[in-house]
Amino acid sequence: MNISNNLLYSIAREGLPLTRFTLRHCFGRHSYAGIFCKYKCQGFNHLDLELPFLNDQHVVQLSSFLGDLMSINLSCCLKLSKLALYALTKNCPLLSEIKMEGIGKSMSVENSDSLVEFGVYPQLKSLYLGKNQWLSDEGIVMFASNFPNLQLLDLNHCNLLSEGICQVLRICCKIRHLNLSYCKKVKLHGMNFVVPNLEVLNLSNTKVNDKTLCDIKELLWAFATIT
Amino acid sequence: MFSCDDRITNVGIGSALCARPTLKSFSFSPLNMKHEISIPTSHFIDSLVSLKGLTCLDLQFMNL
Repeated sequence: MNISNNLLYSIAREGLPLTRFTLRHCFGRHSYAGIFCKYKCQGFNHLDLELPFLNDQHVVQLSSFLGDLMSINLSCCLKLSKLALYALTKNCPLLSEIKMEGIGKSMSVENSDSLVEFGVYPQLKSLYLGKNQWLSDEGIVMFASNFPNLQLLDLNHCNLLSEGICQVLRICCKIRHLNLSYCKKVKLHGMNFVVPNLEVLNLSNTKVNDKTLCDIKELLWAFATIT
Repeated sequence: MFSCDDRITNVGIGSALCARPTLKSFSFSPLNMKHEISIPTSHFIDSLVSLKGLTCLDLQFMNL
């Protein structure tokens, strides 16, 4: 075992009462996921692992030991796909916040049947999927069906998204905060229904025009903030 | 919380940790990945894991 391995092994072996753990942009030859699985490190409430080498297999293994996890950030992990997202929500019953911004391109919805089987996970409240330029209308609608209790949805710079957003708002009627900034195809022409819980709506650098904006205002809660 | 320049060493960080055995949160980031402090020494590691009340740990740009 070399020095670099020693740090993570030592943390695991000593059983430090870590509840919040961040490893960002760290590098080395070893799989951190394997290390933590080996020692069955439990007790993490918040994990921040912006590690580009992490793949689905790592996250699947890791998720089975994260029963106390409440939030996770896996942004910039270029090798991850939807499998990682689903493993986390399936294996971590307390998980309410996931950040997976700018992840790999393989997260597209290529098989809707498997998503139906995946089921519904009402515990997830906040989902950050910004900067995923491969994310389609079909994909985000599927996610909305899987996570119907979302209160925060951040989809900034998701350039493929268009009218699917309206369907998302119909399914996830508890959404309070929606960020669509730089979704350059979004027009919201199909938004002709009341969205009672929306408090913050970011439409900067979208295709929403003045008329649509005027119509939307009538459908939002009186104190909603639109930017 | 340390965002280190090249005057801080592994020894210095390790000693600082030993002086604060009740530390609960530790954030550490070397100036860049080429800095020698990005590779933790055994002294650094021993000092870190001696913090038995540590609940928050943040390591960035480290060679682990």
